[in-house]
Amino acid sequence: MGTSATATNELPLAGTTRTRTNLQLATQRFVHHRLAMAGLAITLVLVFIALLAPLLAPEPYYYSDLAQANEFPSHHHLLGTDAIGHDFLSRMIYGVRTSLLVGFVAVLIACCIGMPLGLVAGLRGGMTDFLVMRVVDVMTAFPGILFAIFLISVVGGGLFNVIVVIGLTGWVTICRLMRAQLLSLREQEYVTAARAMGASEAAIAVRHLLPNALAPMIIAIALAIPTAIFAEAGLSFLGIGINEPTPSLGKMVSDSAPYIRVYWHLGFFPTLAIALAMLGFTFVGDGLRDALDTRLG
Amino acid sequence: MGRYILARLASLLFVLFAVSLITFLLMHTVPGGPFDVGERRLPEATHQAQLRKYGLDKPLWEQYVRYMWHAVHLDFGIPFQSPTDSVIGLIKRAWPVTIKIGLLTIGISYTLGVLLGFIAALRQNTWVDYLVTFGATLGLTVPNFVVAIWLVLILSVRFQLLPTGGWGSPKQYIMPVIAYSLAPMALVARYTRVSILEVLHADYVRTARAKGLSERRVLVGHVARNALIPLVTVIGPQIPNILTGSIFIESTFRIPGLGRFFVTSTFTRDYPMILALVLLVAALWGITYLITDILYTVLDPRIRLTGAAVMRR
Repeated sequence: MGTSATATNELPLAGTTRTRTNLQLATQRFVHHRLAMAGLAITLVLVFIALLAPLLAPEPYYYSDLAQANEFPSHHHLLGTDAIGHDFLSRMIYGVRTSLLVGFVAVLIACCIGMPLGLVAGLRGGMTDFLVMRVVDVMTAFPGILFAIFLISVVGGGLFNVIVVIGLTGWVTICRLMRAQLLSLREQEYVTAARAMGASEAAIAVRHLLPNALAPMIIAIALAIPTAIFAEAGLSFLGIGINEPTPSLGKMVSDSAPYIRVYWHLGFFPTLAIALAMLGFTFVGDGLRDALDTRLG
Repeated sequence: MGRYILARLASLLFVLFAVSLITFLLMHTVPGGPFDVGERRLPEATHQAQLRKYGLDKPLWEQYVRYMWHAVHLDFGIPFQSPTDSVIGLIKRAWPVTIKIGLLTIGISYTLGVLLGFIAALRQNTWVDYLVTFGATLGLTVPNFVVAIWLVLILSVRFQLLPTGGWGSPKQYIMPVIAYSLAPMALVARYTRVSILEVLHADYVRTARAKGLSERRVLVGHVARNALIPLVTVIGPQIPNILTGSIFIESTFRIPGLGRFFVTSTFTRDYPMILALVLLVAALWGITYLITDILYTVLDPRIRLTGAAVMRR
């Protein structure tokens, strides 16, 4: 297979119509999608900030100087200082790091639970499917962030627990989509054709079902990241998420609430960062949907 | 149809049972009971008496069965956070506040959402359409507590028009309702737009135009009537969600509604309250889903309810 692929690449392109692979077409659609590119730009900047946080932050996130508490933005502290004298810009930079860390790792956990469960449910059907779907039913009965709040009350807050809890509550969507994809793909004519030609069920799953389920899964995973970021910000906002001294954008918002009438910057900048993070990832996800899913048009 | 509803009710009961059991077990397996209040240790005898009073000295299964027996009779026990009251009493006092915001939110967001979606669809690919579509993406993406803080910064801090929070005068309703309405409004607008666009090019709409109906009658009688039916499946499941309140909105604006109990009860490990809230929300959700599905078949006779055909979205 490797040789045939290189052979195709070496074909002279001159004089023939250039054929494009699906991936190239999708990339092209994505690049022409203005919102998606804006989202990608925001996302890349945030990832850059998160990765280089120690280099970018003017002060360590735990450094506070009470003598300089509650200062407005100035050239000294670009975004001012908070109520206990943290440099607000530094806190924001590390807060972005926390947000993205939770977003990526929690979604990874959700995928590790949701995808295998969706796979077995969709492929094996029958009793397995029934059991998995009942678990999914029960999980859906806890609306929104309620189950996460509830689990946090059991295991306590903190970065690690928050990541695990968000992962544990986020797998349902991924599992359900995986299963639905497999069920609908199984009815496709090319699968019937493969079966008629004597392909084994395992071969059908690997060759036909999984590659075709890939695009919707990528979209779902991309859109799960902003959901996880929101969950972290929300839990921390309620005071049950990330603990001190780790900075979290959500916690910075709720901490600022008592001072917001005077020190507007304490409320404005973290909310702006949360909104930007959510929008960036969502735009990328929406762009991927438009680029990958040609059926929706 | 009858069999379908029965099956759905059975599955709803199962979900409620599982949810209550999980909640019950999780709450009881964690270290720390409602009565260890930091350093203020009580004498052992008092502690025992307290546990006995609330039935916490009984074996777990007995506590659960007893709890469920009372719960079926709408007696959810005594909340640890306010022992002179009953859970149902506390909920009865807090819920109307949340429902008031919820109903306002539903009214405003659904009306405006349908209207905006309709306009966007009729002006497809114009700036109006792009504005509504982009606005809807913003409304669905930006968390409501972020919107809430922005509203406070603009309306209370900058222009000093409204109080930053609290509850009582109608002025204090405005910001919570706006912050809470944006997301459902965006959702409804987005679905309305797609739904109208689909119908707009249907054969029967062309027929209606061809036989010379006025544009208004085509839009109201044919387009809207058919396009709004699928909206039921979007609007329906949102209702219990909205009516049980947003934890974020209520904590930002210091509203004495149901939402804050989710957090306070979680912190005080107030088992009776948490169980009641979780069961209440889960039951509301299940029932609304069921009603939505049934309503959908009534409104659109083409849809038949059979076991697998109508899956939960």
